[in-house]
Amino acid sequence: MLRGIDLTVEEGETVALLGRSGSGKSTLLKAVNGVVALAGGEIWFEGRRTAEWDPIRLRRRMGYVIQDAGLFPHWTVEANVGLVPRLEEWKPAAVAQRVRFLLQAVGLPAEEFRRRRPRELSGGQKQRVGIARALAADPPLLLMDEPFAALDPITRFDLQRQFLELRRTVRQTALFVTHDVREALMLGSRVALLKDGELDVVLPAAEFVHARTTEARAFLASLEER
Amino acid sequence: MNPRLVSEIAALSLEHLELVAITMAIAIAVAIPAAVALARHGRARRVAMGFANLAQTVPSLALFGFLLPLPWIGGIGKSTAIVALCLYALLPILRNTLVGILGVDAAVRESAVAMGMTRRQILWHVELPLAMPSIVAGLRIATVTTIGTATIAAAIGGGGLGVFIFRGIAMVDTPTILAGAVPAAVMALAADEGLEWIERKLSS
Repeated sequence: MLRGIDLTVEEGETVALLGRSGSGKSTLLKAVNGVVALAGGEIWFEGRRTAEWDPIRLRRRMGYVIQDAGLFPHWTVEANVGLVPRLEEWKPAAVAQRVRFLLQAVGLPAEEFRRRRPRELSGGQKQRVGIARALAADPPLLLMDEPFAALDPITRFDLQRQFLELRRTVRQTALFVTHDVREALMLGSRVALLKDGELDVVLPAAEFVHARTTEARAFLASLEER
Repeated sequence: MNPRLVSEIAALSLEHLELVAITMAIAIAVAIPAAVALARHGRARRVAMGFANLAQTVPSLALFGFLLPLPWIGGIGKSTAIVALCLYALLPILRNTLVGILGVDAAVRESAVAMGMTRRQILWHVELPLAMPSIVAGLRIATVTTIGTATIAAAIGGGGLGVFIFRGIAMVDTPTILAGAVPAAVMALAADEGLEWIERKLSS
């Protein structure tokens, strides 16, 4: 399904993987953390091929955020956010401190939210918790699969701004899947456009508006239609 | 009431409870691990569910009869009765455990995998806790039907409250039938209420 993809993500940058449904962008993301096995080719992470990593260790080094947040409904917000640190056997006090810090960082006052269950949160709040959970063990790479796609436009914009802020403050490296060209341009330092499982074009976000390929122009046209 | 009758009711109720408790313990020990294994294998799941459904359709008196001539598990007595009761109790537990595990939200499972939880951690900390209300609902159905069906165990020498019922039928004596039927019904109602209460606690 994916062919001839050659892409490097530098430390501190956010690469937006842009493409239509079925273009392979989510599959590419899942290949990075080993949820989807590679038929050929290789992915390098922290100086080693991902195939050489213990998949469990590899995934704990990568934060992961999906569209519906995928929070554990039977756990409190605090337990959800502290998951990976607990799996990594941090001391309880360290986990609690980290959870508190992250909830504040994503704009949820810890005292008010840490004991709540996911069903007591709005869609935007769930997604904030999802991001806090993904960042909990300070992963070198953050994988995001259309994290804001299901939110209403105002909440989405709010979270997008917060994500930009987070990117600036912690210099988080991220791969960000989206089908929204506006979001790709706003959040990506570079935009990688996928078409039918192949890389169509990769450009810095600022230059992407001048991209010449048919697929890129099709996406850019949706920006101009107003 | 005749004190001899009272002590016989107590003794047979206890024997009945014993049949039910042993049956449920075995059925749980078989059905829940089986459901966990089957949750990951679609084809085996269809075969096993087919078998469990089939066992359920055999009329209970006939099933007790079929088991009688079999070596090892057959013969007159408690063990044959327990084997037959287990065959009935398996299906609701198996089905409800499967429904519970397979019903875990795909997004929850996806993020559990992507967070680097091992299969075992996902099973114990995510799948089973989330499936628990459904599992308890299955236990409830299985317990209540086992209490009722266990009265038939007396037909093959399994003992329990069915002893009164078969004796009452033979003597055409309604009070004797009731001496077996009423305690069994009370037991079933109590089990139903108790497990429903646990079920409610778990799903809130």
